[in-house]
Amino acid sequence: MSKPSDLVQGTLDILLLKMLALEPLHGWAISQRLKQVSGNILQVSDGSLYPALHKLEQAGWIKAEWKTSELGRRAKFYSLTRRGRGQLARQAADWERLSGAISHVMRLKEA
Amino acid sequence: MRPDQWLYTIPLRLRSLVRRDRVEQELDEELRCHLEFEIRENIARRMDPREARRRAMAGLDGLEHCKEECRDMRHINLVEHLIKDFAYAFRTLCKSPLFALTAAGTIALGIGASTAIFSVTDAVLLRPLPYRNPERLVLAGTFSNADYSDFRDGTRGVFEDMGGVSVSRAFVPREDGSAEQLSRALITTNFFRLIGASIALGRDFTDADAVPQPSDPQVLMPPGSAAILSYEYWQRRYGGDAAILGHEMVSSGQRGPRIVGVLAPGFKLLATTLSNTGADPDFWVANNIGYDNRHRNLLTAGAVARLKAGMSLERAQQQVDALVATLRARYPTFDRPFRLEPMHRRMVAEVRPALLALMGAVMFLLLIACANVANLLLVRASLRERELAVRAALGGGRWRLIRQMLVEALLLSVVGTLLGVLLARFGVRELLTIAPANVPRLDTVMIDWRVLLFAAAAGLAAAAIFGLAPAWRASLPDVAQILRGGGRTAAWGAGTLLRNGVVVAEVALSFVLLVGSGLMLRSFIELLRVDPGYDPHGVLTVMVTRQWELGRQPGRLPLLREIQTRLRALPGVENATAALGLPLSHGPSPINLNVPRGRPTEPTAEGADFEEVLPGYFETLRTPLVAGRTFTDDDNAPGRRVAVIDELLAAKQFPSQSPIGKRIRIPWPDIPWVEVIGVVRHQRAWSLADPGLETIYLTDGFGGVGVSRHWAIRTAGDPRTLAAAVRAEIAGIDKQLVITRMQPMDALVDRDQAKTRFALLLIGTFAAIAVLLASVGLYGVLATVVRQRTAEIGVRMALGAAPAGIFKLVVGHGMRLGAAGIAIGLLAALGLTRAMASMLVGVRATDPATFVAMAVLFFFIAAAASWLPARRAAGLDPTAALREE
Repeated sequence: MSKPSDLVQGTLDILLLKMLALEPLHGWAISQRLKQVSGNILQVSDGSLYPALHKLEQAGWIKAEWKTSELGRRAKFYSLTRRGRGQLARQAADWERLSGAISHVMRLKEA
Repeated sequence: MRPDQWLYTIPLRLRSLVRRDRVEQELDEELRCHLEFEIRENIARRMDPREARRRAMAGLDGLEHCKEECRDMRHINLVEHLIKDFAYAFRTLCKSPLFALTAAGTIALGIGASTAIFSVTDAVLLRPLPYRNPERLVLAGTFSNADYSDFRDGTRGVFEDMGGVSVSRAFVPREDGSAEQLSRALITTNFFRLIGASIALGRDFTDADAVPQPSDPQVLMPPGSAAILSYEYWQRRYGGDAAILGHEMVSSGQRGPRIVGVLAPGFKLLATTLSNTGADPDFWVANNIGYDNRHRNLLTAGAVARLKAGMSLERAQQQVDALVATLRARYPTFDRPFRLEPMHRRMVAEVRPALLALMGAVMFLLLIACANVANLLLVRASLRERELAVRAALGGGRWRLIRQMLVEALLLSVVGTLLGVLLARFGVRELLTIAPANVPRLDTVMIDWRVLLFAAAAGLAAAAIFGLAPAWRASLPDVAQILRGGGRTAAWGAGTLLRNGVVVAEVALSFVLLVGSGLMLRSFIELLRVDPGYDPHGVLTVMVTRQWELGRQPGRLPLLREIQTRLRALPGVENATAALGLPLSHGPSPINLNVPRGRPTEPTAEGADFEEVLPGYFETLRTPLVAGRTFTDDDNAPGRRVAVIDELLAAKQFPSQSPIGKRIRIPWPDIPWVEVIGVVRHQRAWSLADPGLETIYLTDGFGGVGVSRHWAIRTAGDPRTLAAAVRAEIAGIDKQLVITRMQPMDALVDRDQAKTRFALLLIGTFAAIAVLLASVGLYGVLATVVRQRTAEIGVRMALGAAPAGIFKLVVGHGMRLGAAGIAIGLLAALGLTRAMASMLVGVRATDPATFVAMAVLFFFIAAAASWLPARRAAGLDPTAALREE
């Protein structure tokens, strides 16, 4: 599987959950949004995006619905479930702690 | 994953599985949608349409690949692949029905044998006794009344409750004046509550029901006592009539115990040590065990006790030991140690070793069957090596290949297990018809869910054993080499090594079984060759008993004399005699009376087995006279202090001198010694397998009462033809005489040999199947080797190797495998046959002759199994063989 090599394991999940927490999106829109927000730093290929979405759906954190898109085509829209919201809150807290700790270490001055 | 999460995700998973088409369609649609959007976007960025499409596809890392990953995320693939694998395995097995049938049949043999034996083991050894909390029930031995009271009072700290029971014969008159003999249990009133028996009708005993024990055990309970009937006797005698409650048991004018209840159907007193009638009690009478310190050695009741909850057997035994020490200090004649034994363990003590040995034997058989199937699968895998290599080269994952092989093994095992269970059903039925009578609870043997669970577990384990090796093997094909070398070179790698190892294991396992059956065979031959000291052929045995009212017992002597005279006068009868116990109809009965001991230098019969016989006993049984003379009619009277001893007692008490005319001390009240008038050959009295004790014979009239009840009638013809005449003659003498246990003495011999014959038959059968399987395995390996090396053999022959050399090459291979297996098997057998020691007769578990004979026998079998493939190799036409590329 072509994992996003420089993406911390599990980070993609948070990004996806966070994005869907804002509004329901279909796969291609998520892909576009990812490219916009993270630029070239987080390189997520479309080939790993879809399996990740299916995994989240299977875990019950997001749910899917077929709706007509803004481009007039029926597309599969994903949205966050109640359980997903909880999961996002937990992961976000974890992330805050981790990143806080790392930036704290990075700010240490050499003696 | 947390359980509450399953609630949510399981429906999703199910949807993925059940609505596979729908999910697949949605996945397809979703990705197509993505592509459309992406292409539109790319074109908007002024790419040309073909480039736009190419880029979009590349973004997904390949459409099919992306789909596959999504499916993986949904766990669809696992189950889907499994279903496909099963279908594939089913198809491939159908394509080679001979292979499939052989493999499934082999497993069926292993599973069938082990399931059948397990069903017996389960019923006899594993299932708890049908009582309340049976694990806390212990047997404490046999007690005198005084012992019982002291014991009960001294162990209140360890036992929750304790009850006494003794079973004996009782005679109940019928309406027509004849009598029927019943098995009657005297119990303490708490017995049924102690053991947890339920009353189907009426009530249980209360303390008010208890009456003192009758002084003569053959006398029916006095009026006023209460009885509870067994359900079976209630049905048999009273036709299940509930109105019988409150009535007295005896209907012909005499009075007997009043019936107060009926036990639930099927209740059994399973501990045979508590019963001396060998039958389940027909009725139970409440009994009051009084304290009688004068007869401390008169044993009257067996004790069953219930350990307090949480009390260990060891701690209880310590308390009992302490109690015994106090009793011994207080009563000098008290000399019995009391061993607490769990009821179940005591009950199965006699049959446990044999059952465990049989269980071990069938486990070996199952392992051998697995090894054989593993070998078949390995051979098959080697033939399919190219197919597997091609699949591996085309990207079939390693795990997928392993799974494929495992699924095939599983399918074979499922079919084999189903066939095996069928086989076990027939097997169990046959088993029960030949099982010896000393196996308790045989009537509860059946194929129930426990046994089916065992069969399923055994089948799964078997599938794992015979599936893993070939699966592992198949997962490592050296793709390049196999595809290049035409599938021959790789055969000399791990596959052959593995197959050789499997065959060696098979030979070793079956050799152990072969040694086991060899030892059983030698035991059986020993048993047939045993000189029992009597000739059982042409003898009819019958037990004749009668109820005697107190004070009328002197009438026994003339009655016995009349029976003997009239039986001897019957046409066809050569001789007739009776004794207190005939050989093979009873256990040991050394004298155990409370009398002072003699001086140690005197010849004594203390501790010897003791028998009372009518004149003509030795002649009728054809026990050879070694010295002196046997009893005459004149000897059969009180006051005649004469005895016949057997050669063992003679050798022990009168070494290097003739005992004839000498005195020998006997532990008898009022009669301290008797004169030896004859010496006879030793009789094996309890069992043909057991030499038994030295024996002293007194006349029936010696004690003045006439105690003989086992009759032996010798005829020139078939003893069975005498049965009707004997029955009529005895009935004509006295209507009250009860005739039971009429059977030829050969039947007693047969019953005595049943245990050994049973073990021989089963272990022999298992060993035969095992050896057959092992030689088929050996043959299979060699045949495969020859097939795979055909070209090499062709080259050798072309270079001048003689057919004889090729023959030797292949046979040598077979013999090396056989020798390795036999060597390992020898070591294993040395350790394992010890477990059979208690089943053997006249041969040690490590009998060298048996070991050597079986090794030689197996060597010939290995040679025979190697012969066919070797001949085929030697007969190859070199040019044809070389063309076998």
